[in-house]
Amino acid sequence: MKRGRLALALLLAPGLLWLMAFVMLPLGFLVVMSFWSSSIFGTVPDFTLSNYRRFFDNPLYTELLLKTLRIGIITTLISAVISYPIAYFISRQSGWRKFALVVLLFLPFWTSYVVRTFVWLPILGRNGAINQALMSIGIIDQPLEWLLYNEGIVYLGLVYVYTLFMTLPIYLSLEKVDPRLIEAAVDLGARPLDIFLRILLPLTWPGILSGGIMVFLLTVSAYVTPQLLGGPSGIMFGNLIAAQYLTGNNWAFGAALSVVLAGVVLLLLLVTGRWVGIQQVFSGGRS
Amino acid sequence: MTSPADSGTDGPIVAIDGVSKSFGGFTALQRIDLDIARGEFFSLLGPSGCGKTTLLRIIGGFEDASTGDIRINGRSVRDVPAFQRATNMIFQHLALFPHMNVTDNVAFGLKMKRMDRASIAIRVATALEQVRLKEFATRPVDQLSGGQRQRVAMARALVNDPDVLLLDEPLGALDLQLRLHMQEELRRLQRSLGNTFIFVTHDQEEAMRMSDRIAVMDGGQIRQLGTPEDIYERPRSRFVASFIGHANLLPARVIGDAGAGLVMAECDGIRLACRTHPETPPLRTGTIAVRYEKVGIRPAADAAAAADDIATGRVVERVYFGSAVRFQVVGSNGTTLTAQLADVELARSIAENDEVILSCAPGAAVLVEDD
Repeated sequence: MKRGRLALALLLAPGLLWLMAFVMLPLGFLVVMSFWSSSIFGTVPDFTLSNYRRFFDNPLYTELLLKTLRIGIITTLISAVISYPIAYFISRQSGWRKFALVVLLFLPFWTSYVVRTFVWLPILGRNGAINQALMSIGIIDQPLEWLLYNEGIVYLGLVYVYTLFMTLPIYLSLEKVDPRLIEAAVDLGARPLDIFLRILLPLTWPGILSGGIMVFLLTVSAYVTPQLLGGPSGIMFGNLIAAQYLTGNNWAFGAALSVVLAGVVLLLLLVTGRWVGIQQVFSGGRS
Repeated sequence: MTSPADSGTDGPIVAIDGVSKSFGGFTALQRIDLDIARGEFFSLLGPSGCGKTTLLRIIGGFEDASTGDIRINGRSVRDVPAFQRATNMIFQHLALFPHMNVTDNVAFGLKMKRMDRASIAIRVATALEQVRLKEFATRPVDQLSGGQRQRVAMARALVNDPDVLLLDEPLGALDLQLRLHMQEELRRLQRSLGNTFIFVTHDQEEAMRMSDRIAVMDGGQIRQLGTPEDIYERPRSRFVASFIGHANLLPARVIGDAGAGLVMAECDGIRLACRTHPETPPLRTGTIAVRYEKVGIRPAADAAAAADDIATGRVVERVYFGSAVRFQVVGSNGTTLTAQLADVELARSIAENDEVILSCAPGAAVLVEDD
């Protein structure tokens, strides 16, 4: 018994230390710093609520936060709609075809997402592939300006970069569904839509949720994609935070914004989590 | 026998007409012709790979026949997809929906038929009562025992009142006691409901105990079709004789007529007056099949010879079963025969290495065709 506990502690130690050193400490520091004060002379320890007051006093900040959450939710929904058919298709394949398709699924992760975001510029830009092609065949005389730097293009970029984080867990949960259950449902008179709604969807719900949480978290904290593709009108909360550190030199306010974002996201997950049965993600599908 | 179910049409409920099936180069079924009567408990019996499950799946609509046609209730179901067929299946691995409780599992088929909630509730309750699961209505199915899960599967299929219930070795995973119990339960349900059951099994005792008729299958063909008694008492071929029950199989040649419709056959000096299946053509050679329990055995000390005596020999092995004792005897002519004695008193007087006399009544042995 004692030996077992010691072994357990030793086995857990590396992971716990890692979490403490690189997750809990920085997070704690962030919270502490959000009560400090920044000025042109630097950020100094303090205990002030002025950073939070500044956030709540200016409605632009709240609006940006709401917009960011909206983008996060819509991106997650679009990703689910795109991912499910892909995952279903791959799960129905067999042999080397399935293997090849799963490898293809991972392929985009082999390059940095910054690069993957950048490639949209030569496609959609003023002198990009689409404009060149349309002009050369005479459909347009002037390059289309609205292809880049708007909110819509931010959705495109985010969905493109993060969808696969959803496809993979959905694929894995579809793989776990016993095909004989589908046969049994067909035998009992289920049509394709019934099978999807009553068998596949409930049994793969944990996969959809875990993928959804992943995409949502990555999206609401995105700042490279909106910066590169969205321009001024595509700006998200992440850009606001980044600006405090990189250009505004207002680390304390940046910390407060980060804490607000993290707090709101956590609250959102807790509230909607109850409603959609988030505990299934951690209990393997049994409610 | 159950009275035929209510719907008016006469004729077989399932008519299988020249059905073949091949997967790639492998022939799973070879031109099967078979009629199954309304209200019948019909078994497809055979070793694994004989095509019995394939035939069942074709009836259910889960596989397409390569050739031939199947009519259910007189109508061809070639173009009827599985979800529209008047059949329901109980699967080998049950395939209960793990995310639903007992009631939702059982109600599934009725919901698919868009039946109204009140009727569903009544029929589900009745079905659960029939399989004695009323108290478990709200249990998740993963909190049930093997036998209970079995009964949920039965209720889930039967609640739809299918014209034909297809059962794909549903009792295979149960331990012996439970299995015997579920066999009775299934038979009881079939008799009280009157639906046609088509039951696939590789267990010949199970098939005999439950069925009105049995089709013995091997190599994608039906080797023999008949009542359990027919098949046990009058096998046609060596395969059927060896697959059903336990029999001594002796290569033999026919030496004449033994009168009373019997054929005299001989194997290494052992002569037996044999029955044959009515459809067996006249044979010159074949195999004598004698059930273990049809071979009489008594100590050689009992000098009084009898007309039925067929050989003398020495016991080389004696196995006690409780209800019977089985003796392996090497005859004086070198042939090995097995005799099974239900008379345990008499069996007690015979030990290994004892000299014994073997006997067999005329007509107790069957002459069958070689495969």
